[in-house]
Amino acid sequence: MKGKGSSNGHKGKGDDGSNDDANGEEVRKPRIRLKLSSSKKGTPTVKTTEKKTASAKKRKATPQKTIGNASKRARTSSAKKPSPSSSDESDDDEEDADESMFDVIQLQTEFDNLDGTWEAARDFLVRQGVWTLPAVIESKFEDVAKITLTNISK
Amino acid sequence: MLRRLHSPTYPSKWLDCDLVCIVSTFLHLNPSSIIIILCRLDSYDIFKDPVTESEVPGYHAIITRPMDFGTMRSKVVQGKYGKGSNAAAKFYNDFLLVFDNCHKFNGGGGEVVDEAMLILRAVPLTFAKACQEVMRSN
Repeated sequence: MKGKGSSNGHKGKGDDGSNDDANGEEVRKPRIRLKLSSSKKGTPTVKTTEKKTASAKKRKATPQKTIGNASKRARTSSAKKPSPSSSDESDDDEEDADESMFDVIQLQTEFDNLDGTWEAARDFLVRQGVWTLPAVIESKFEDVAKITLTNISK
Repeated sequence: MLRRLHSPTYPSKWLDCDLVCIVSTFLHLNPSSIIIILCRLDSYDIFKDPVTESEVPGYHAIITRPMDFGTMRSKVVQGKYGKGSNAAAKFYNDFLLVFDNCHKFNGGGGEVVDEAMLILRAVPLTFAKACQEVMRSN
């Protein structure tokens, strides 16, 4: 009863561990309850941590999504504007091809590195694509063609 | 395309060494100079003129679009390629046609194809050098 009374008397002060020796079982129950409560409290904490992690994941996920979306947007934006970018790239490629087409030193190096097969020789010709003339000598095709034929026949 | 050819890259390939020695002794010349002279005279005539049916019977049955350097030269002179880069593209395609015909007719192997390969590999460099020469002359 003391315990109860005291417990009752100390209700307002709260449940401390002072009554544990008198009624162990009764005390254990609250302990269990406390444990349960703590476990209950813990579970929410766990849940909260889980929620936190989940929310963190979500937070992490959402930026990834946003990144993904951004990349998608970027892709779509790039896809929406294919003509300038692709034309720029193609222009660069064409310029590179043109440069390599008339770079005698580079061609000589490639020529020296050719193996003695027909496929390699044909690939050497085909690789650079169809011939074009530099803008400076655009009107001088006949001269270029004649010199080419003369030199190739030597 | 079955015509035998002489290449400066393989001078001793087609020449009989004994014959060269006899001629060089008779003419009092160095055998190597004889080889060089002969090779210069006979160099790369493999694609010089169109292949005729009398030369190679059945050639035109296999090669439906024959092409050679002589025909290309006449097309250049007559202006059949046109002008500018468009003409250069057609000119390139004719070059490719010449070598593809050779490879097709000769079955992808043999001495003729080996010799044609040596010309083929020189084409890009020759065109680039021709462009440079014309640019310099401008």
